[in-house]
Amino acid sequence: MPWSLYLALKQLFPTGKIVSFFAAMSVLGVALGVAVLLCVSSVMNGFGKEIRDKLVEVNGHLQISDGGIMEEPYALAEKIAQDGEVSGVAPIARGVVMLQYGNRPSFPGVLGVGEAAGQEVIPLSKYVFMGSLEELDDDSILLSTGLARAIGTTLGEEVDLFTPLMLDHLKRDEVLLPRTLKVAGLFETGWSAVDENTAVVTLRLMQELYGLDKGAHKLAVRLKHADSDMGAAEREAERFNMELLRPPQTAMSWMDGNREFLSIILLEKTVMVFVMLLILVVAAFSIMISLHTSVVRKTREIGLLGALGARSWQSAVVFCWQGFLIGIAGSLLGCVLALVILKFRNEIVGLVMDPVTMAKYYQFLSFPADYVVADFVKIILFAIVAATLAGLLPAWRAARIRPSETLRHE
Amino acid sequence: MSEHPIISARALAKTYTAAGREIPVLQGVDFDILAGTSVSIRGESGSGKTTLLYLLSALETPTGGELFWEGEPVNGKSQDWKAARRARWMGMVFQAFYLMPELSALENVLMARRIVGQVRAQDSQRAKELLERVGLKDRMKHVSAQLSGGECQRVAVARALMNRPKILLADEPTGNLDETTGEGVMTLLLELTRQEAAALILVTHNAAHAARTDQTLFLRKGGFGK
Repeated sequence: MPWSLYLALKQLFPTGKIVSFFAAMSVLGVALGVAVLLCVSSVMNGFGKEIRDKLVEVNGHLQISDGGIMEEPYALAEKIAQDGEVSGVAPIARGVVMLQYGNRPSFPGVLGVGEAAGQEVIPLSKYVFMGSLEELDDDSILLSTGLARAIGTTLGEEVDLFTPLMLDHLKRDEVLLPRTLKVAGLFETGWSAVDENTAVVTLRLMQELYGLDKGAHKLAVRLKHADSDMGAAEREAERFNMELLRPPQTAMSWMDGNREFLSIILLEKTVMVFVMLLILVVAAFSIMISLHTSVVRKTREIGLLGALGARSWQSAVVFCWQGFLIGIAGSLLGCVLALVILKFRNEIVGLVMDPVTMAKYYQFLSFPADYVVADFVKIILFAIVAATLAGLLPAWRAARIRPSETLRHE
Repeated sequence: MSEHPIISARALAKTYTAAGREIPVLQGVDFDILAGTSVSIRGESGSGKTTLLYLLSALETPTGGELFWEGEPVNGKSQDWKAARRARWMGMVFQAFYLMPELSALENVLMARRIVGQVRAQDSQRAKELLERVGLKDRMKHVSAQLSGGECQRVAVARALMNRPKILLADEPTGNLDETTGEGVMTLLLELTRQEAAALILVTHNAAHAARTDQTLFLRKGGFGK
């Protein structure tokens, strides 16, 4: 071990003591900075991942449309399903209806999806917590929890559904009666944008309610390798447009369809991480001040090192080592601290915010977190580099100390 | 006792500049010390004793004259060369001990070896042996705050001798100690340098201590007069 490293270690962890006060405070400063950064980064990643997952699960990786109502969706679906990268295709229809239970109306978005193939693309069954998806038929409906709560209904009750098609009939002096549907199940995805106001019916029923005949609005496509590869959906959308589809048919990836929203999430994360980086800069600055004070305090010892035969740069390196060691120890402690905080994040957040409020403003019932190794590595490297750089100025000062001047003044 | 000078100075001079004024401290000092001998340097305060010591150890650069270490000219050599040579060849003891407060007595002594290279088992053995010889066998693991002034200076003496130097420079080594303790440290310093066959240059105000060395030089008006 180089003597400069040995001496740096001894100055941080002196003989007879576990750790020096200066070292403990500096390590703690870096650890807090690293922990906060890792927590913010992981939570923002978690939010992003949850939102991306929900977007894919509700829309599929790709959506194919022809700008209007697709007359022959099943024929195109069959053709798309032949592609090796596709794991499922389902015609879907979307719209807005009026739903009424007793005298309590609501205007939810309705998704009409085919039974078997539809489940492969939009896996609703995993979100149904009351009732069953198998019970969904042309005379029943699935409601999101928020919607059921809003109109005061529950499993097994009957609700009336009014469609925009009724207006067309009225214009022709015809009366189209509302459809009475039984609530076959309640679902909750954890994403309040969906959970607050969504209903699901069979595609056949949606075709009837919207007068689509055998048509659909879009094809939702699920890909085999797009969950782990963020760019896969965009690449496949491009390939579909070039090779499989004919204008006006177009394929759009879930990322294209939500580009603005995803950009905002990314921007939010970038801004948050940037702001939190300042904590580490402040920690590095306080390390620099402490090390500088240490240089002033140890001027004679630095002079003595020169008298013992140390080169001036070697005496300076002692202080760089100290910054580096503080960075390493602070980063490791910060990682541990961050993992503990993230493990108990929901309990901690629960102390200051109830889940309903969180769902209202942040779209989720629980606090998500996603541990991205690359983010951990970047933050730890930044902390170590910042702490090491903090030792440079004190080191420069130490290098300029002339032993003969410091040793003679007693 | 060798007849070859271990350190030679020829017309060594040092002038400081302060507030635009030149202050000559040493003017044309000629000096030789033979290997294994001891020399004490006495003089009034401000006569340039410490400056001379720092010039001889190359911690200061002379403004005139020449310095030789074992016949090799030192002037014009790089700071790194001087530092490396100082580490292996020279030991220094100061009035204020200058022990590293975060190190134990044993670690302080070994520090001199660390600066030269890796610490081997025989180095640890030598450090313990030196501490035993200066009477600190039971205080090896104590830090400087747990040692008395005399004990600290004895650790400093052991540290100065750790690398088996050919010459030991001591600047008022008893200046911070009471008479009895100072006498003990002085005896130790002379005995150990003799045992280790090292030369000793002692800067002191104390006439009794100076009388115990082979030769005493008086520094007056920037030069020697016996």
